[in-house]
Amino acid sequence: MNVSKRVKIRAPRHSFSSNNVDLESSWPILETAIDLIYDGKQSTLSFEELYRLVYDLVIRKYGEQLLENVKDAFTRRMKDIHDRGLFVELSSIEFLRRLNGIWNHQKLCLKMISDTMMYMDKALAWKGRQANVYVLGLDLFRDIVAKPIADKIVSSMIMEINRARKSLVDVDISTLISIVDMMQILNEGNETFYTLYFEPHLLQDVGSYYTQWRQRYADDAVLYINRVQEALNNELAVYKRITNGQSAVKCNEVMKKILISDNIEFVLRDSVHDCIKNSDTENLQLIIGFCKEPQDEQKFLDTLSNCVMNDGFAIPENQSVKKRAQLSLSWVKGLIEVKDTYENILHKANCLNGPYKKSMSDALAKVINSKPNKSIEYISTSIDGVLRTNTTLNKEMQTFLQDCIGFFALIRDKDLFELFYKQQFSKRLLQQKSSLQLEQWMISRMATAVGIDFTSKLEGMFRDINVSHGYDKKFKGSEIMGIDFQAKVLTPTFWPFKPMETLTQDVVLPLELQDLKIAYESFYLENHSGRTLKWAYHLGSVEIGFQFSKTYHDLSMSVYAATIFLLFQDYSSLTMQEIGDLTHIPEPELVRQLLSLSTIPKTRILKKLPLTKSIKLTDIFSVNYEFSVPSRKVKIVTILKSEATPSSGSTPFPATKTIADEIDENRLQAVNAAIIRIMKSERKLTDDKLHNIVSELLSSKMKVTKEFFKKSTNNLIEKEYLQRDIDDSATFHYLP
Amino acid sequence: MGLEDSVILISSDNIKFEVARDVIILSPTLERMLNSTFLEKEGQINLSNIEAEILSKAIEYLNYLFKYKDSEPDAEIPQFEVPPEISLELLLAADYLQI
Repeated sequence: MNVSKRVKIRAPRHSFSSNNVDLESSWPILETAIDLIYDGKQSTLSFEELYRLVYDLVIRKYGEQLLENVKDAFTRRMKDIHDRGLFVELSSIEFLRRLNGIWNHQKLCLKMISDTMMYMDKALAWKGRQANVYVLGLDLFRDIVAKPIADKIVSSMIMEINRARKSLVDVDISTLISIVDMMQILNEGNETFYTLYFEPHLLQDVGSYYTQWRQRYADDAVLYINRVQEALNNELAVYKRITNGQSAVKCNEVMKKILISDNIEFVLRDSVHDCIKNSDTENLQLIIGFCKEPQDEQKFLDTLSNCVMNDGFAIPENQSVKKRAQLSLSWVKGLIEVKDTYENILHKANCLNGPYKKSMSDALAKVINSKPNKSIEYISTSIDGVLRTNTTLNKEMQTFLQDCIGFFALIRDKDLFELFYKQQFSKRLLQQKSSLQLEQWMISRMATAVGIDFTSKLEGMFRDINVSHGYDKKFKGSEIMGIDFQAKVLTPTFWPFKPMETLTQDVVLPLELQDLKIAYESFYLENHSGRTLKWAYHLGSVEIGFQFSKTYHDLSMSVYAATIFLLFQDYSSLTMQEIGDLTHIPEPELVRQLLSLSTIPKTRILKKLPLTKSIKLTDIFSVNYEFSVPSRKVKIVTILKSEATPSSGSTPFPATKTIADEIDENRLQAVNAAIIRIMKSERKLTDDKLHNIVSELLSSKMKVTKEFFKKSTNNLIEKEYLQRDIDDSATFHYLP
Repeated sequence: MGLEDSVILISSDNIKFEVARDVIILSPTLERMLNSTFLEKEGQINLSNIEAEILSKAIEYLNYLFKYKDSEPDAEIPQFEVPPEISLELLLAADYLQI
């Protein structure tokens, strides 16, 4: 509706930008201004005038030429600075101060000039030409002033940093900061003067400085690591102050390489063991902190494990101690002490975890497995000692046993331990030397530690004893006979005794015992028809009350000994031949028993004629009525071996040698079984491959050596389970 | 005489404008001048290529900018009116002042 009115846009007046501006007439004005600025007389100049002049020139398309002129002017100035000399002959700090002065002045002037010319920067940026008068000036400063004296700058800075390492107070921090600032501002592509020229030299210097430095503490590792820590901190402080933290990480890496990784052997060798011995948690933590590089950490772990092993091997074994039990206990306690020492300090140092714990137990395992027979005997015997002498466990004893079980878990030849333990366990059970509750506790702990595989037989033995107790309560025979009678019915496969077949069954027992035996057999078979009972006389014992001429004694002796002794109810004297005929005790056993009864001074209840150490079939025996000792109870110990007679091998607790035989036998069975199982499915395998698979399969139980493996394969070839390949003797075939 | 925190701008036709410093420095050109160590640090700037009419409009714009520069993104901001006849001259001035 409204009538539109035409608006006339006014054209800008001439005055807005002067028409007659050209570079030739304007440049001198700007050049003078630049001179005045450099002289510090900018307060006499009008910013606006200069700005307007640049504006006019840019508007008139003189921008690029103007930039060239500015560049020339700057170049002249920089060359001038360069030509006037840059005091490279001065000392480092004096030189840096002068340089800093020049730098600050340049920076200031360039900034002012750049500000007045900002319209040009903007306009040229529009044309796609990146230009900044300030940056242009800096680049020229870098190329003309700084670069030619780069070496002096770098070396002076490094010299000052060297001084700063000793004391930050003695250096001109602000100058150094400013020079660092300069080096960081002057950039070249993506790099700066700092990263391009300074830092590489700095790192090199750190390297050579600390390579020398470390010589000073080369003879005391603990002092050394503390100094290293100080040096690292000190170096960090220097960078924090001077470079605002730049290069700190890189320099620290260089230092750590030189001071720690390169010297790690020396440090570890000389310090770790001392730290542990002196419970020096602080220094140990320091060392662990240093060993963060994977290969350093590995070296630390190796050292740790070496220390554990050295300490472990150094546990004294006082051979002058006669009793095995005491010797065992002191060794095991020694080992526990080693373990505790290391665990405690690692715990305090907060690193009783993963790899540390593992290398410790690996090392303990090496100690234990270096002499498996000895360690196993010691550990098992120590447990035996504790269980025999305690009916309840205090905290200390529990810990001790738990430690023993811990060691047990580290034993490689667990089957050997099992056998050893079983021997002592059976002795404890049959002689009722220990609390069944404790035995049960022990078994369950062992099962937890290594699995029920190892304890199933022990539990079987345990069960036999418990079941037998039940029978004893039900069996009325003992009341009828007026004799206190206890029988243990043992499952042969659980117990570590000789095979059933070898048990002598036809011994003629004293009448009382014979009656009891028959009564018990019929009682037992009533409950379990179809079972066979065989008597292991050599395991039993008898107590007899006897009035000697002077004193009355409760005599405790083996079943065989009692059988012999009770003969003298009917006979006043007998020859060995006669005794043998009457009792049917096999001769070697008879010899042992007779020697035990008649030759040991403290328990000589039989007289022997002639009284010699050796024994003949014609020797005559009779009751020694003169026998008398202070104590009422007398235990007649069966001698294990007599020099006069070869061992009969019927001792219930064979010496270690037979254990080794048994172990071999058990192992051969296990390896044979494993080989057959594997070959059944594989049919054909090479020697090495089969060995590997078998080793792997049995690794938790034992180590299958090459020799042992060979023994087993030979055995199996003999038994015609395996056959060697006709063409390739290293390959086995399974014979179905 | 201008106040401590105000600045005097002088147009080409010699008219003085007293404007708060906080407002003036919204123009990068004027800001550099004021914060420099040149003559202008005294708080007086000769703008000898801008006439009073245009300068006053430019100052009005700076005030407008100052007023609304911190407002919420969704706040309602009135249009800044420019008389068409001076628009070209104002544009040049704005370029000069880099606003």
